[in-house]
Amino acid sequence: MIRLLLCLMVLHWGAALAIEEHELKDLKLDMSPASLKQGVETVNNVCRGCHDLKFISFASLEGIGLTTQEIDDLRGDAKPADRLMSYVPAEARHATYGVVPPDLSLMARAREGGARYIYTLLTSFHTDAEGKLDNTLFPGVRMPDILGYAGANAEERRAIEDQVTHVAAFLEWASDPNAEKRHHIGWYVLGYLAVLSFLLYKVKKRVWSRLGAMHTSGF
Amino acid sequence: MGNAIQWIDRRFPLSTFIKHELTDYPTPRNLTSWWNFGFLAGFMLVVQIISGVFLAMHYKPDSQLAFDSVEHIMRSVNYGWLIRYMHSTGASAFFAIIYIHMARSLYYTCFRPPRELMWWSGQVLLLLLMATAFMGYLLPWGQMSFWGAQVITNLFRATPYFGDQIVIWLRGDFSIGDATLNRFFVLHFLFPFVIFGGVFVHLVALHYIKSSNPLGIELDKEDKIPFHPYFTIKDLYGLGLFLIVFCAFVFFKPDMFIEPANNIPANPMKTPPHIVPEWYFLPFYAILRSIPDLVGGVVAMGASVLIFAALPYLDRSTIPAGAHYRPVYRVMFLVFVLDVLALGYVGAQPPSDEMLLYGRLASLLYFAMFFLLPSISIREDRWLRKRGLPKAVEAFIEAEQAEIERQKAARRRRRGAA
Repeated sequence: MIRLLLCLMVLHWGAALAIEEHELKDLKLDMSPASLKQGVETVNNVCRGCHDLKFISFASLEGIGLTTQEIDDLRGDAKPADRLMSYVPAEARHATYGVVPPDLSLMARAREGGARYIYTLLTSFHTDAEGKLDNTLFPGVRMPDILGYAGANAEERRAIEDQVTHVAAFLEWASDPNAEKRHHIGWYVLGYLAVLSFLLYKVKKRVWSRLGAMHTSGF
Repeated sequence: MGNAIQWIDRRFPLSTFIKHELTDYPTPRNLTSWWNFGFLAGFMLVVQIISGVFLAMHYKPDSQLAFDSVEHIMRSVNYGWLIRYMHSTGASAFFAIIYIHMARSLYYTCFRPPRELMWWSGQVLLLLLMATAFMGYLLPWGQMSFWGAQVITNLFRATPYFGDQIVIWLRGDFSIGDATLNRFFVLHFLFPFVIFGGVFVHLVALHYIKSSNPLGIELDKEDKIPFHPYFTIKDLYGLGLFLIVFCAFVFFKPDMFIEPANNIPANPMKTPPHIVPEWYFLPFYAILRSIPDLVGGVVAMGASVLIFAALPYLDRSTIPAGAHYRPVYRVMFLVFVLDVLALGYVGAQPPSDEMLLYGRLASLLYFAMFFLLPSISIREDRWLRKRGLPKAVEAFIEAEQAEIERQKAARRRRRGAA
């Protein structure tokens, strides 16, 4: 019965997973410090034109391996404790786009597909037959093709895709800065629990052996 | 030490209590691992209360601050991410354990006399747990929190005469808002302690009528063993295995139980394209959606949870052993489990004609299982009686007899050798 239930669970899961992520491009996230550094530079120079990252302070960028000097270069006149807010006031952005562009701190968790969604969105701009700019993933998106993907040739597109990979990696980090630490601790926790469970199993065996051979497995 | 215990024992029945409930408490020796889940549920309740209390120290139940305060916990509070992920994953773990605990009781028909009050107190605990989980889900104040609460509180509109007033009374406003968030926070904090009291009643009843067991028959005194040390160590070993699975989710896949849309702050002006409840409500949600009428849907959904309470009267079989020795009931149990999984799948899908059809068929099957149980169990009982005791029961009884004889002989031999 246990086996049957397990099979059912796996089937159920497979079905649930198949719902989403059909039209997203493949993305190999590069979470290395070099990649994250390139990512934060694009975010700082380009994305912050319209978007806030209100949960990320300059000081916290130490978490991706930036030195104090590099952080100072990024922040300019801002204080280390300041958040990475947009250069443009919210009212002005609202006037331009009709809405305030969404905050990016949690973007990699706020869309089905996460970082892959971000990567796909930024590399899905194209000009349609009438010469109008549109996006395959998000038709009618109000965001401009800020990286110029639609008008780029094949070689330029590869460079942009590279740049977007780093942006996606940085936003993935920003959505949960403790992820690496969490994984690191997680292995120790699982190792500890495995040893503990093994010892408890041994003790259980020994305690139950006092009862004699009358086994319970046949029930 | 001895003196201190004596001092206490004269004023409070400490030793008697421990003796009665733990070191001498007779437990059937044939309990399988499925009997581990009651203990695990109690453990999860404690985990949720402790992690919840620490979360409440940093959380702000204010519609302007709630979302940001959760991010503050995730990013700035020392190990706040761990506490929050334990709590959010813990809700799913709690439900998974409770559903397995219920499935065990269904499979072994643990709701039969004299365990009706255990079953019903469990039913009340399930309802309290559902209410607590539902209110807790509003607190992160994300899009799914907001719209989920909007949809579910709206269901109370189905109440005759006072529908609209009741919805407003529940929300404290015309729509989900600051007032709702504040009261849900208070109740989400309060309910776990009510559950704690309910668990106490559940346990008092258990220790009065004693544990059920896979055979369903009352065991002889010799076949019972003291809870401590046998089941304390067995439960702890089970806890170790459970914690491995739990921590694997907490540390490596914690966002699996958080809808992406809930990482977007609640926006009353913008409905998300697809509102889904948490996975543990999906089967009931599918039943709700399979009926086009609001009142009908609400009644069906309520009945789908409450109908479990009728089981002691619906099962008319006189064979005590549960599904293991009742082939027809066993098939019904498996069909029911499959059906609940199917309903869960349907509940997660965006509405479509196809899904509506599947949902209706599965809902029908869900209720059919309950309504057909009386006549099926009576026929099954008659058939099994005519056929004689199931072979497995006979084989088990023979094997047990042989084993006892063998042990007796071995003891005699040992005594002879000494």
